[in-house]
Amino acid sequence: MLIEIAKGMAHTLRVMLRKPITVQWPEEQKPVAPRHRGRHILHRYDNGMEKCIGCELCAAACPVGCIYVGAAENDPANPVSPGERYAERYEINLLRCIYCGYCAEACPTEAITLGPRFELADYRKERLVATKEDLLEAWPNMAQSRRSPSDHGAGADQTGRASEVPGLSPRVAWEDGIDSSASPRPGEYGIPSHVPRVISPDEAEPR
Amino acid sequence: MTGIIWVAGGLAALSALGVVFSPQPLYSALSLVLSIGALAVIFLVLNAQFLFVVQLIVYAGAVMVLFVFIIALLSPDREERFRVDARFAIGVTFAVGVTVAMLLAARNGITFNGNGFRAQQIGQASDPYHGFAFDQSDNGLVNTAGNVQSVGGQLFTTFLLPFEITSMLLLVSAIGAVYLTRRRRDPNAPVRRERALAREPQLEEDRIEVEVR
Amino acid sequence: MIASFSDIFSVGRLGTDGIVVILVKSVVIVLALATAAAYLTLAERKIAARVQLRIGPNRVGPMGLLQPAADAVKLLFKENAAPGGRDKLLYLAGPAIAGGAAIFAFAAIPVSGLTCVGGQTSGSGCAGGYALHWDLIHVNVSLLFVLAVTSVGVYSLFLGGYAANSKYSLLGGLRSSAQLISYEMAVAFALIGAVILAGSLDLEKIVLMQHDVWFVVLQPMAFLLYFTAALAETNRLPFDLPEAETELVAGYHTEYSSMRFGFYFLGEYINMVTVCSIATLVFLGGWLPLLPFIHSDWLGGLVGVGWFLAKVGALLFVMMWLRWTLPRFRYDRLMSFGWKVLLPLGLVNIVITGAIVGLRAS
Repeated sequence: MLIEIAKGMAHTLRVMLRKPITVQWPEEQKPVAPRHRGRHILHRYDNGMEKCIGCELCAAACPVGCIYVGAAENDPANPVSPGERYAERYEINLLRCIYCGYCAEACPTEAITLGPRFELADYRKERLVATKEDLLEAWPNMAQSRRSPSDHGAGADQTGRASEVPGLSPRVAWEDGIDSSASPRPGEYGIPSHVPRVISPDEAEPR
Repeated sequence: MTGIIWVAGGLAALSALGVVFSPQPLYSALSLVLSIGALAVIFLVLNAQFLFVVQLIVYAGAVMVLFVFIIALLSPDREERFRVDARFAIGVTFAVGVTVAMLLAARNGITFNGNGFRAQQIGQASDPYHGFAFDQSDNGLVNTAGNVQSVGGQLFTTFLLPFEITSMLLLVSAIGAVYLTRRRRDPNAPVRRERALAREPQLEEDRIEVEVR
Repeated sequence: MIASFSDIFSVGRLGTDGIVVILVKSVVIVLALATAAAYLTLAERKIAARVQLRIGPNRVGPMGLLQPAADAVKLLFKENAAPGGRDKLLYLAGPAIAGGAAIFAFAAIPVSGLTCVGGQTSGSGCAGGYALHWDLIHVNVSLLFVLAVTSVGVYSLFLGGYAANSKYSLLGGLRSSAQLISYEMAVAFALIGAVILAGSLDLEKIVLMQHDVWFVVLQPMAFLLYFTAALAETNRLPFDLPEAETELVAGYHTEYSSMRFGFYFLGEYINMVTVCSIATLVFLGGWLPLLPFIHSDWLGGLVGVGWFLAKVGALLFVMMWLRWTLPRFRYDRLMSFGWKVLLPLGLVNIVITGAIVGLRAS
């Protein structure tokens, strides 16, 4: 019996000398998988036009009902999206969202997808209703939001504070006068200012 | 100096009173532990170091633990407070009288003489409260009086027979306790499966055979 | 007439040491033990983490070194939730006896050899100068003293379990105290072999008798028996069923919170230190050096203290290593192990040792 105990202790000792597998968050970050469903991104085409045509299929597909799309007619002289309509207001309640990805599956133009960002905490609930300015990709630096193994991040959150939006979403009964530039700014409240690195398809799974 | 003996003795006496007068039986037992501890301190101060540790290990640490277990588990109820009546008065008078008589007897020098108490060979010990001086060296006879070598030597030579008889007694009592508390099982009583089937005849039909490979 | 102060106080060191040294030693012992117990909790967590391939506390202070302070502050500020039907006196007495007995047992443990301050060592005394003994009190049966105080410490478990007016506490307390008093015998029997070799129950003399070979070499079985029984004495895995989280909630200290629980915790870790200290003193040569060219009496005996602490630390590490390696004993198997395996093996050890010593003497 002593031999078995000694063997067990030898094994434990060997494990003690191994390097721990802890990832020391937030200094180190664990990379996310390519199909990780984090905070949403509204994409553009390469020429700068928004992909979203304001069809509201995502809002219909959402099981929770956290998407609000306010569509508007495209000005023919200055089209925002290639089509008749574009989304003038696009809001997602990040608190209600269950990050299931049904909106991304439903979208006919692959405008809305879910990106790698998952550190979305804030102290103020109203800040967690993401508006179009937060979700829309930056342009012309769109390489940032493509699914590439780059850690520069995705979405409009890299550009600083968004401009004012006309009014609040009708689904959200907040008081007037609240700054509805919703999504928490990186660097505030200890929210890390970088975005998780996405694993490229030819990379092995993180251990 | 003697201050410690006074304090320890007083504590021993007070806890002894606590043993008798405590309404809760568990408090009585714990007061007895305290009393034993105080006596052990007196042994230590009088240089009987082995007796000190043995008192704590055996008496306070084993015998009284047993007492405390039993009292706590069997939970005798809280007694009513003692009433001051004729019985109480007789008891107190008797106890106080015996105590005073003992103190006077010891004070006036009725002590053992001869081989039983070796200290007397060194100093004058007819009156133990005064005139008592003893040898402090490791070879001093009093120092060995409570010491391990002395006790052990006597135990295995002069007092070997009582020692062995006592250990035999303990062994017999342990065996007796185990035997008396064994679970008695009627050899004709049905085993578990039959008892279950008697309750639930349906079980027999629901039985399936499972092959384990 | 009692000739002098030192006559009646030749026990302990009150006659030779004087009240100032006694007070200083007491304060040092209490502070050192409390700090040791606190940092043992951190060591436990770090070692547990390494065995589980993680890092352990490393946020509070560099490498987590202030974590015990944070834990202590947390314990102090926690609410003292106590059950309503408790026995108020015994509920407080439990942790008090636990902490108190644990610290008191350490009083007779010498951490280094005799140091002559300003004089010369001559034989077993000091010629001139002041003889500094590194224990607080000295009885010539100091090994038994430690055992006696730890056996009085059993009351803390039982009273804690009983006073809390909860059946889980009572059962846990009962099991804990029964386990402790059973393994006390195994501890004693394991130590007797070494005592026979040393010819004394005085811890200082036992260490000095190991100056050419340590008793662990001469009595390997006794060392293993003692270490195993000591694990059971301190309620450590694999013998910690009475306080295992998955079993009786938390056993005897279920109904304790805040600093009262802290005291039980303190008592348990200080008991670990005491038990490992006895193991080093009796089997591993105490303060005697492992590398013979680093003498123990350098730096006024502090190197001896260093050797002592190194050995105690190694044994504590082994205790924690075992905790995260072995599964837990079931309680009935625990009791039968103590009575049916450790005790007879201890007796066999005593018989063999006694026979060899007796035959060599004749």
